[in-house]
Amino acid sequence: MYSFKNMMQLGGIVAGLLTVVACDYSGDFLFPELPDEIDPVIDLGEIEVATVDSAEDAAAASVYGQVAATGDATESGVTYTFTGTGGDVCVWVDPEFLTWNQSVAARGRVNRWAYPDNLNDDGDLDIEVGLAIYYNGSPGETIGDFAIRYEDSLGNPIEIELNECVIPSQIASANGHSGRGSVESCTISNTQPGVSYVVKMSAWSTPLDDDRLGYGLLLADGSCRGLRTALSIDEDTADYECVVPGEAIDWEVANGPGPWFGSSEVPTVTGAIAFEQAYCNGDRLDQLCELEADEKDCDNEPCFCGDPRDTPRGGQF
Amino acid sequence: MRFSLLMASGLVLAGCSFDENLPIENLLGTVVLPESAGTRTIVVDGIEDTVTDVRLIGPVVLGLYPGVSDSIFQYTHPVIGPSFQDGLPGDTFPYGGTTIGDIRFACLQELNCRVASGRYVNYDEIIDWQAQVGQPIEDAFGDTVTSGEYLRQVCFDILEASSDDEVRLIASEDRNGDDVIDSGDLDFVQRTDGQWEAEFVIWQQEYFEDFEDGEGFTLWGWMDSPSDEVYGFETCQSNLGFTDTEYNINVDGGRQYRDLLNRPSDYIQEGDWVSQAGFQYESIEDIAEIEIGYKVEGL
Repeated sequence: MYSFKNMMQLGGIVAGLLTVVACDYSGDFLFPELPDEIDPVIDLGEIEVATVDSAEDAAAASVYGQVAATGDATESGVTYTFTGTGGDVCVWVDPEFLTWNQSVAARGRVNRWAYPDNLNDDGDLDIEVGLAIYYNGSPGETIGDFAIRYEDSLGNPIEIELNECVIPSQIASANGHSGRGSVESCTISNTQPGVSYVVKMSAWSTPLDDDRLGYGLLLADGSCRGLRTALSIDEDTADYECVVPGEAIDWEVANGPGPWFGSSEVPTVTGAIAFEQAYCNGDRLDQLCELEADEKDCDNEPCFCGDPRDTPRGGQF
Repeated sequence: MRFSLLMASGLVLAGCSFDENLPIENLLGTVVLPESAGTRTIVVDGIEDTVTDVRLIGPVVLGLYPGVSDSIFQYTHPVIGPSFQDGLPGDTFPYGGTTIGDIRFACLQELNCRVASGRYVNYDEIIDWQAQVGQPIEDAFGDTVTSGEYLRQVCFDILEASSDDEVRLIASEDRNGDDVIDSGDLDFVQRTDGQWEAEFVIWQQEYFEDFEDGEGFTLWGWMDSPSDEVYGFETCQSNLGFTDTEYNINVDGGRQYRDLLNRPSDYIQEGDWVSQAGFQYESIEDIAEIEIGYKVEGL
């Protein structure tokens, strides 16, 4: 039998070893890898505000690209500028690819969503927009923000947020964002003519499967409500996914981060546009997913849908 | 073993007296309004009547600011931060604040934005006051309400409350300890010199001071006087707050605007009362006394 003294000695040795091992701990594994040939901070320069009256206009005016994570705790993302028109401007971004929540209710399950999504191929971009003069990032080098640091008369620092992008679905306040992997848009009202604005799209998450986040953006004249009306999009937010088609970019074909101007130029993953269209049309995704599972070896090649074996069972959290 | 237990007990006891030295305290103080702030000539059916009544004292908004200035508006106003848009004053960036009397929904749509807490002893006073100022209240069926008990029952029903404490419209606490709930238990009590006095607490407030000269933040406030038309409050956003929909009855309760402390000048109007000096703290222990004695006129 070990005595209390022996136990204490053993505990001390283990604690000492753990301390020594902890000195070699970096935490790098917590961050996404930085893929080759894609920068984590990208500046697209000036993008012209497009007049969009139809789905064809939107597809032609869309700008596509890819961005990576920084590989550490610093923020990555994409910036670009546009010039105020004197009226409203709609800023729209669609991050790679489609994401949906699986319907798992014991009663009243919605069959359309009964198959799980492949969460590994989704990323997320969050928009902020403001006057260029307030943006403190270094385009192409570091991602910044639109906060002004002010010191009150007692010497206390105050941060004033000048982000003008109010995501309508998020309690109508600035700095809210759409959910992970969702399309995000906001209207910048009454832009000042001739004045430069910066759009910041920070990469909140990159796809787990390849760390390369594809995106498609659209900068449209008028409000986002007007854009949706012009494209005959109703209130079903699933339809938003088809405003900018084909943002899932095939890395093997692309061989670079872009940008690509117009949906006809971007090397989209085969079948992605058709799958997006089915999603927008309200088709039964479970049927499409089962078809995909029959046709592909999803254990060894990328699939749009997830693995039904991951479906949670009753009692699982 | 016994020694270890003694050590542990000693540490626990020592921990009880541990002071984190955080500059956070409940700030106590008093607000004083002149008698005239609660006095008005009311005209009903051509008959003038000069009334002095606590119900003419609207919600009082108190804020803690870096300082106040008398050069921005015709009345003293908290100092303002940078302005980023033509014609729109900047934010005052308050450190905290409170109100004496909140906008309360008094359970009938017609009372939307017309009732502040801490001004009524009972429900009858709410009904009587509206009649006194020429604004008799009708219920959802168009019948004139004459009974406070009726109003109370409507409140219990619509708010799903079972006590006056929950409704928070009338005095329900014997604040002055005289075993009677009366006008002495309201927020504002009229002193023998005619002035109105109310105590306040700003709960768990962090203290800020100038690192160089040690001068603390400034307490400043203003009172939203009831309007001349319907005796309602401009600090109330009528379409928000409590809502209730039952069959064909839609009720909006109203609530105070969110930025009363940040942009007071957006809400201060003719007839409101403001503090001309404020109260500058010299330490977190100070008990503030602030007079809100300047009537805004000629805007």
